[in-house]
Amino acid sequence: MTARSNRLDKAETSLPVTREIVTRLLLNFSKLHSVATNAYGDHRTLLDQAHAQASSIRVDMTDRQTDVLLSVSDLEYRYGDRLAARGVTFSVGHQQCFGLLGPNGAGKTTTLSCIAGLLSAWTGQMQFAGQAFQPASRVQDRARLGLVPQELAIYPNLTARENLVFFAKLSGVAAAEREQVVAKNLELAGLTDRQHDLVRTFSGGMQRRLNLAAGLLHKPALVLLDEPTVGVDPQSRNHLFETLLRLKSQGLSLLYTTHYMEEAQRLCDCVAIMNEGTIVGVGTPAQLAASIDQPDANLEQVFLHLTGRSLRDA
Amino acid sequence: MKPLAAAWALAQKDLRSFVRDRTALVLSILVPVALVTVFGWIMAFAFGGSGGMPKVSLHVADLDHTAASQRFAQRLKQQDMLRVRTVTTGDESADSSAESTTDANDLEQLIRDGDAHHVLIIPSGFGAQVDAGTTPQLRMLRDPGREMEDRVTQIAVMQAAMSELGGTVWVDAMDRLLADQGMDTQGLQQIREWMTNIGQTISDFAVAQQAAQEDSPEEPATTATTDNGNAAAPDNATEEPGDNDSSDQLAGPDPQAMLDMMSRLVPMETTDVAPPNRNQQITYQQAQSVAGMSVMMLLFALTSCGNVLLLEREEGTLRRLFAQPISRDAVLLGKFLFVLVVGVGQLAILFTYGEWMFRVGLFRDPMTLVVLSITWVCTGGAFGMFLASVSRSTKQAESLATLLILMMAALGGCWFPLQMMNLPPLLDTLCKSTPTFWAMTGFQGMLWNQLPWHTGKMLAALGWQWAWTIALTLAAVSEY
Repeated sequence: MTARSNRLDKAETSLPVTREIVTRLLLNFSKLHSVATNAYGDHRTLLDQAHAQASSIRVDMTDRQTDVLLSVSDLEYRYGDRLAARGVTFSVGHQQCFGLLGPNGAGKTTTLSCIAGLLSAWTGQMQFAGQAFQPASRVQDRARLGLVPQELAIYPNLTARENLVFFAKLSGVAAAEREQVVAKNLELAGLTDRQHDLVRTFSGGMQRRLNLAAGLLHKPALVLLDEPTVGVDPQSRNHLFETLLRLKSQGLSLLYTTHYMEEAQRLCDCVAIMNEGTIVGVGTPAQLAASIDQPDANLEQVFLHLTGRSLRDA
Repeated sequence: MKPLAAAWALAQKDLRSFVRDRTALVLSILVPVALVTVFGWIMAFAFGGSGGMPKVSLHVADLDHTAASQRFAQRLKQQDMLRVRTVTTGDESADSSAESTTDANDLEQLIRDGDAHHVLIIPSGFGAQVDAGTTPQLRMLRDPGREMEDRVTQIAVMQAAMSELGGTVWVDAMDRLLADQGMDTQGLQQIREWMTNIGQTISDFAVAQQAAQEDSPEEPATTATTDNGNAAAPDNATEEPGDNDSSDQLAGPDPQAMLDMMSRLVPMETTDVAPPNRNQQITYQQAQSVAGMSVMMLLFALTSCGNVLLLEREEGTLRRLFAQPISRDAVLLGKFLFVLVVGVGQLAILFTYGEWMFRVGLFRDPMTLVVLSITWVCTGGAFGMFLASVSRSTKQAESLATLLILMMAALGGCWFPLQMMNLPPLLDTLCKSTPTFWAMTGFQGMLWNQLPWHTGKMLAALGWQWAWTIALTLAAVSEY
């Protein structure tokens, strides 16, 4: 009875979206047909694109937040001949933690780099709070973001405090507020006692915490976190999670890439799963689990279902 | 595992890794090959291929423009020890003394600018004196700090004069010497006849020796007759030895004794042309060494500073910097400022030490020192930034830097003064195309010739360095 009721609920929610999907698919395949007849060489690529789009649409059946902070549409980026991101479309809401999941080489870091303004030659559209967003070329757009790179992007021969003061200056924190901001972020990272020690003397976890703090100094509206827990002990990881949850509750939005499913399950309100440069699934962890017809499935099972079990050695 | 087996396993692993790092492998082969080639090449030209004696540069200004003066200039060119450069002196048809004075000033300027260290002037009337059977007087302008070149030049000029003028120089020299001592005309005439006879005897002996050697072809000829004869000799009594022969003869006696003796044969008026405040205790080699090592070592230091950019990329901090709300140009400019500050600091230390050690007069003209230093620091910094932008790793950048800096140092004259070298046009152009050449030109101009930064030669040196700076900076920016 319950299962039948669930299916009915789902069907009701799905109907308008399904209509839209069919229309868009028809349009896409119509376009595909005309282009493919003109250029046989592009045939496979277009089919892939259509498949990817269809796939993401198939899963994107969620009641998405309307209060969008960042929206990304049809983002594409090439490294030479290789398309690292294609048709990437998602949006991050206010005060939302959005997880970008995917195996190695899926295109997570490329997508994040385009958003962070590190890569400029992308195509597609990005909007931030409803305005066109060009982070690579506009300094003021980058000021809205905080980046926490995958690498420990802090200076080992400076003290924790010197690192934060330096990044506070670069990110435009006013001189009058700097002391206060730095002190607050040292506390956030749990490094107040060690603020005058050289970073090279810190443990991996301490460096990770400082790495996070360095991305938060100018109170960005959206923090981009690129696998911030790599190589971190459970205590520091827990500290990072608590910090991120606290930041979220204070109004920050987070875009979080990882391939640790339990992290995404714990932190993210919404996740997008990327595979080979495209988004193959997007929704809340629960919605994604439901979408593969395994109601008890966890995120890892969804992930493997959508991305396959073959090894990724990219 | 036994220690030896373990050690061999480790060595095998390292060798395998080394061979697979293609860049390191290529550079490890390329660096020594390139350096051996460049240094071998430079050294070959430094010593002129003559087996050990560097060729000395001599600028010759013929103010006489007669057949005799041109023959003498040709003799000079045939000297193994000399690399003769003919100086064109204004209107060559003009004979007035006013023109000559102007020419002499221009010639002195060649030395003041450091473009020449010895200029031999064949004065007006040279041909007439030769035709009259008297020994003409020559004039030498010289940089007094170039003692080694001075000795070689004087010997070579005397050899050429003796070859061209033959017995006249001996007889005239003896005449002058004895007349100065108070000998009367009759005595002098008698001496002149004896000298002529002695000359004839020596000449006969030389001819006989040569004939004997021609009869035994196995032995290499040690004498040769000149095809030019000696029209100026009063009786053609002597056939002077050829050029090669002359240099062979010089190999034996003490050069200073020979120079002293020979300098009394051909009268030469010598004028020292030197900046007024140059420390006379300082040799050209010391000044060369201070400038050359400063230029080269600063390039190494600045290149390693430029590697900070690569290090930032390798450690991931560059991604964070580029994500900050600042322009990328600001990041590059920041790195450049760092290099500039470090470079100026290092140069200041190097120069202070150099001045304390050698008293080369580095701080005599502070403005010129500052202009030259900042220019070279900027060029070196741009070079470092360029290397950092084209290299994939700090290791690659360091290997490339070693290769390029040592080659540029050799070609630019940091190690050996290029003035000593008889470079073919291609290599000469190559040397002059290096930024190190222009840095050396500037620093040598300041240290040795005491030229201020706004003179033509210094401006050219500065201009070329700035051209390099701009080109390298643009290349670095576009690569980033």
